[in-house]
Amino acid sequence: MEIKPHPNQAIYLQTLQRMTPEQRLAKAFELSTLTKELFLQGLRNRFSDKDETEIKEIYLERIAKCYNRNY
Amino acid sequence: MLQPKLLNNLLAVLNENHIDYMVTGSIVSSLQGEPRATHDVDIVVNIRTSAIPALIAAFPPPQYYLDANSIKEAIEYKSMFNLLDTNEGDKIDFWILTNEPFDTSRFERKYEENVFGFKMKISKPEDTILAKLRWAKLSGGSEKQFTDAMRVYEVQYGKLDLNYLQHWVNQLQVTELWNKLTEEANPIE
Repeated sequence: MEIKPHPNQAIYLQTLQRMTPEQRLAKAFELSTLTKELFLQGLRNRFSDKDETEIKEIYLERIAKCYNRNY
Repeated sequence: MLQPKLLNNLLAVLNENHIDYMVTGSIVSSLQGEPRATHDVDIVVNIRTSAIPALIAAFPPPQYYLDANSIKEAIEYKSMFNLLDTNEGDKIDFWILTNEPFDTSRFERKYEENVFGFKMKISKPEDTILAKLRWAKLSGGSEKQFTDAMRVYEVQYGKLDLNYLQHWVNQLQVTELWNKLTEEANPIE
């Protein structure tokens, strides 16, 4: 059941339809990059004593746990 | 933006080695429907064991993890294997093309889309919707897969082959999810 309200859904869909396939894919890549950066920043905040190499290791460990489990 | 580079490299390797492929999954539902974040690429491949050495050579360690035995096993059992970018955490899932009727149909219907200066063979919107509904069913009702399917339906509405969709909805036994999708969707008429 859809529980989230979707105000202005028609405008949103029209916007998506106006975009080219390449633009929609580029947006997906942008969002992926953004989520990765947010994830890394969250780890930096939480583990402020760790250097960038250690943060990257934690990041890769956590990402590996998500593989094929995030349906 | 790492994924376009990885995707471009992968497609170049597949083309050079005459490995036929079709990109599918959330990369394609983003392209045909609603863009969303993803860290993996799903690709159906028609690959023979003779192509394994070239694939392994193209993605060497330590940056990449790709196991020749896993590929061999996947080809034998028509299952899947993956390629991991161990620096970035990105992943490519390779699904071996099977003889199942839906797999054969969607692979035959694939088309080319020009993105970021390269050509990419992808599933048709109808097949993207059907595959997502099948995943939603197999995963026990994933909202993510269902929403991906619904957005492709909404964005592509008016251009979809509804007879083809209805035929495979019956064959794949995803009628319940399809009915839910058509009830909840708000396509622009």
